[in-house]
Amino acid sequence: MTLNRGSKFLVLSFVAVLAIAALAGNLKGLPAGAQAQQSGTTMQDCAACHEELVKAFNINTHDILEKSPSYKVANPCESCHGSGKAHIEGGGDKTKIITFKGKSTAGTYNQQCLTCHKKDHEVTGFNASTHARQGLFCADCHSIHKPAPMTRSLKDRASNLCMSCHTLQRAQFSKPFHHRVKENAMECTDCHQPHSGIDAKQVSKSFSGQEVCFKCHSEKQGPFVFEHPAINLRGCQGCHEPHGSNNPKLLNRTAMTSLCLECHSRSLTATTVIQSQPPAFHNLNSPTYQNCTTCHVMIHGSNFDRFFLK
Amino acid sequence: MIMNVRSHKRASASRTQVWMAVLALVLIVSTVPALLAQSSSSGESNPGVAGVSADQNPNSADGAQGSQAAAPAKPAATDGSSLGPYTFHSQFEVGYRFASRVGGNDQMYRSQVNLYEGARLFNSYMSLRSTPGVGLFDRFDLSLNNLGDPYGTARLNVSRSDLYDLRASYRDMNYYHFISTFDNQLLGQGNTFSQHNLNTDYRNTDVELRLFPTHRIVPFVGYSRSTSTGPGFTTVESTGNEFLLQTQWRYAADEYRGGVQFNLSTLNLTVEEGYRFLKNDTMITSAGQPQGNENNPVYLGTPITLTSLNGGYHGRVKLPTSRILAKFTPFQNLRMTARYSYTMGDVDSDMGEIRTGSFVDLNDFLAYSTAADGFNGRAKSPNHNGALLVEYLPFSRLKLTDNVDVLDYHVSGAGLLSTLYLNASSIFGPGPSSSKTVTDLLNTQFAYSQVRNQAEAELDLGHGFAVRAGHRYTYVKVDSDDSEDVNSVDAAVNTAIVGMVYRPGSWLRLGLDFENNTTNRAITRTDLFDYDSLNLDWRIGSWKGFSASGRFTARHNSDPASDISYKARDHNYSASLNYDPSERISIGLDYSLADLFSDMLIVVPQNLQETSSIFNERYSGIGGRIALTVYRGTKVELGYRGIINRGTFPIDYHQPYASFWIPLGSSKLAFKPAWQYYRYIQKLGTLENYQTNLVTLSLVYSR
Repeated sequence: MTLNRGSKFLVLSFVAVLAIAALAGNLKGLPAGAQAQQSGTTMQDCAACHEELVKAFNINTHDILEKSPSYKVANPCESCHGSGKAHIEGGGDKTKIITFKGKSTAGTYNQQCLTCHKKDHEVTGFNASTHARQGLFCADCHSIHKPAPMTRSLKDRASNLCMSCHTLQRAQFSKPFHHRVKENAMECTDCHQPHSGIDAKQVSKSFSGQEVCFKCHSEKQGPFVFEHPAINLRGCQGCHEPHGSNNPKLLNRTAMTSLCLECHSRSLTATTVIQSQPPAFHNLNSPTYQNCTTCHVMIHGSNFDRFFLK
Repeated sequence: MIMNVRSHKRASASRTQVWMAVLALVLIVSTVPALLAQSSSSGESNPGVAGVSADQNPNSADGAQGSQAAAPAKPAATDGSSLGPYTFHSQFEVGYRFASRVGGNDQMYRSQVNLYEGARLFNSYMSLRSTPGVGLFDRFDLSLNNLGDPYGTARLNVSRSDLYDLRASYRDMNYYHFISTFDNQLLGQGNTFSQHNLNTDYRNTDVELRLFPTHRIVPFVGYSRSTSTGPGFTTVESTGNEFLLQTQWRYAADEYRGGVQFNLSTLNLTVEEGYRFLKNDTMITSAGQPQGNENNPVYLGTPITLTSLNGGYHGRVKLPTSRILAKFTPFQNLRMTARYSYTMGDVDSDMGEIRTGSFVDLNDFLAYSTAADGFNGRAKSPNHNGALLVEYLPFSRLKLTDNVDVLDYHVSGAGLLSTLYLNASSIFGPGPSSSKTVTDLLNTQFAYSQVRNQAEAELDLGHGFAVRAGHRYTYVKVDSDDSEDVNSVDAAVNTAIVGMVYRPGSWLRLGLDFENNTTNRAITRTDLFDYDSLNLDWRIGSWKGFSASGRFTARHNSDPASDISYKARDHNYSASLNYDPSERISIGLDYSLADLFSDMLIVVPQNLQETSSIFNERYSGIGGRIALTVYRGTKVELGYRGIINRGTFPIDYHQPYASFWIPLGSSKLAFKPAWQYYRYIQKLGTLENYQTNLVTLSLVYSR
C-alpha cells in the first residue's frame, strides 16, 4: 500500500498528536478514579485485622501498585476495596467497604477492576460483553488473594471455570471427537476471549481478522483462488461443531452426502439462494458418489481447480 | 490474466484515509481531558450494602481423563519454599501408563483417544514469585503437560511487573484419522481400508513479549509458527475411477507481528503490524494400485489405469496485516471501543504432476498414456474487518450500547492449467498418436460484504434485577463469478432481542435471553432463516458447600420455500451439582440432554427427484464424581462419564475412572495410581467398536 501526499500528512498528524497526548497525559500512572480512593491509611492499618492476606500480598501481582515507581500507591488495598477509613473507624463495618461478595450489580463491582484493567489488551468492551450482561462479576472467575497456580489470578484452571457454567459445552467435550480441552492440551481461552464485548459469542479472531480456527489449522486459511463460499458465509461452524461431536472431523452430520447436498441442491423458487446442483452422473446409489470428498479433496478451497478436485 | 488490483488499491487507500482521519480526530479530542488533568471522583459510588458473604467455589477438576486431567492442588497463601527472594511452588508428576491391547477397532480408538503405553510426564508446573519489581523477574511460571502423549503442551510466562511480560506456549498435537466407515467408497465391498486417512502432527508455537507493561507506551513483538506435517492417503479421480495416492502433508505458517500500545488517561490505543506467511509443500505419489477402485475400469473402450503419479505443491500465501485497537472514554458515561484490521492476501501457488497409465480426457477428447500438468494459481485478496462498540450511560441505571461490525472480503484470481499429453489420440476414432499441449485459463472473482449492527438498552431495576431489549440488523452481500457460474445475492436479517438477569447476590444468578429473527431471503439453503432462540441459565453459589448451575437453550428455525422446506430444532438441557461440605469429601454430578432435529428437501442428482434429508440426534450425557480423603491424607476419587446417543447415528460411549492419592511419608511426595476405561459402541454396526483399559502409576512431587 503506497501512501499519497494526503495520507502521509494524516500519518504525520497522527504521530504528532500521539506524541502530544503522551506528554500531556496524566503523569500519575494510576487512573484518576483509583487514585482518588486513597484515604491516608496504609497496608499496616489493614494488617491489623487481615494479617495473613497482607503478608501473602507481598508476592501478589497487585503489589506492583505499592512497589512500582509508576504507581507508588500508599495503600494498594484501597485501589480495589475503596476507601478504608470509614471501614476502620467503624470497627470493620463491611458496609463501609467494597467486599466483592455482597449484594450489588456486576457493573459496580466490575468497575473497580476496570478502572485500571480497561487498558489491558484482552479487555475490549467488557461491560457490553455477554458475561457482563449476564451479571458476572470479575470475582466470579478471578481471585486476587488466592489465585490458582499457573493462572492469571484465576480461581481455577480457565476451562474448569468456564465449564462450571457452560455445562452444555462440558458435555460436548465428552463426545468421542473433540478438541483436547479436557486433556489439558487446550484452553477455552485459546479460541474465546472472555473479556470481549465486540466479538460475537466472544470468539477471538486470528491476527489477520479471520476465524480463530486458522491460528492452528493454517492449511485451511486461504485465501484461495477458488473459494468455497460456505466458509465465508457460514464460517467453520457451517459444517463443524468446534467443541465436540459424535461425527468424525467434528462434522455436524454423520453422512457427508447430507451435509453437502443440504446446500448443493437446486432451488427453483428461492432463486437468489447460492447453489450449484451436482451433475447427473453423481449417482448416489453408487458408493463412489456417497462421499463427496472422495473426489472433491480440497473442499476448503483450491488454488487449481474450481471443483476442488486438486 | 485479469486482475482488478488497481481499483482495489485505490478503494483500500481511501478507506484507510477515512479511518486515519477518524483516529486523528479522536486523539485530538482525547488530549483535552489529559491537558486539563482534573482529578475526578471514582467512577461508581461504593455499594455499601451488606449481603450474603459467599465466595463461589469452582467445580473441582473434571477427572474424565483420570490422572491426566487432574488439576494440581491449589497451595495456600503461605505455602511454598523460599528460594532467595522467591517463593517457589512446583509439582511434578512422572509415571508410566500401561495400556491393555485395544479390543475391537484399534484405528477408531487411535482416531478418538490415541493414548498408549509408555513413560510420561503428566501435569507439572513450576512457579516462582517475588516482590514486584525485584530481580530479573518477579514471576516465573512454567507448565508441562502430557509430554510423551500425542498432545503435549508447554507454557511459559516470565515477567517483571514494570519491565517486561513474556508469554510463550508450545503445543504438539497428533491428529490421527482412520475411520473405515467414513468417506470410504469401498466399504460395501468389504474393504475396511479408509482411503482418506491422515497421521498429522500439528505443532504450534506462540511467543509474545511486551515491554514496560505498566507504562504509558508499551511496545510489543510476537511470533507464531504453526505446522502440520505427516503422511496420509488420499485419492484422485479419473473418468469415474478413483486411485489411491500416498500423500506427505507439509504445511507451515509463520507469523511476525509487532506494535505499540499507548495508555493515555482516556484513550488506550494499540497499533500493530504483522506478516503471516503460509507455505504448502505437500507431495503426492501413487500407491501402487493401478486398477483403482473399479473392478472393470474401461471408459469408451479405453482401460482407465494409473501406473504412476508423482506430484508436488509449492504454495505460498502472504498476508501482511495492519491492525488498530482503540478504547476511548471521553466522559465517565461514554465508552467507545474500536478495532480495525486490514489484510492484503497474495496467493502464488504452483502444482506439478506427472502421471502414466491409460486415461481419457473428456475436456479435450483425448486418450493418452502420459501427461504432465503444470498448475499455477494467483490471487489477491484484500480483507477489511472493523468493529465499533459504543456504550452510553445517560443515567446510572440505563445503559445504551451499539455494536457495529463490518467485514469486506474480496478474492480476484486466476488459475492457469497447462497439460502436455504424450501418446495422445482422439477418442472419436483411430489415428496416429502424438503429443499435444492444452492450456486453460479460468478467472475468478468472489466478494463478500457484511454489516452488522446491534443496538441494545439495558435498565437496572434495582435489587439485582436488570432487563434489556435490542435489535440486530445484518446485511450480507455475496458476488461470485468464476467465468462459468455467476451468483449475486444479498440478504437483510432483522433480529429482535430481549433479556433479563437477576442477581440478588453472589449466591444466585439467573439469566434469560430471547431472540426472534426474520430474513428477507436466504443466501444458502441452510441459513438461519426464520428462527426463535431462547437461552436460560442459572447458577446457585456455594451454600454450605452446595453449588449448582444449569442451562437450557432452544432454537427453532424454518425456511418455508417449497423446494427447501427446512425445519430444524435444537434443544439442550444441562445441569451440574457439586457438594463440597468439607475438605474430606467432594461430590459432583452433571447431566445433559440434547435433542437435535433437521429436515430439509434435497434434490438427488441422478434423477433430480426431491427427497428429505433428515438428521436426528437425541443425546444424553452423564457425569459423576466422588472424592474422599480416607486416611492420613490418602484420597480416592471415583468417577464416570458416559454418553448415550440415539437417532441418525446411535452410539454409546463409557468412560469410568478411578484415581488414588497416597502420601509417601512426607507431604511432598505421593503415589498416584489411576485407572481409566474406554468403551465405544456403534449401534448400527460393530466394525468400529472398541474397549480398552489404561492404568497409570505415577509419582507426584510437590513443593
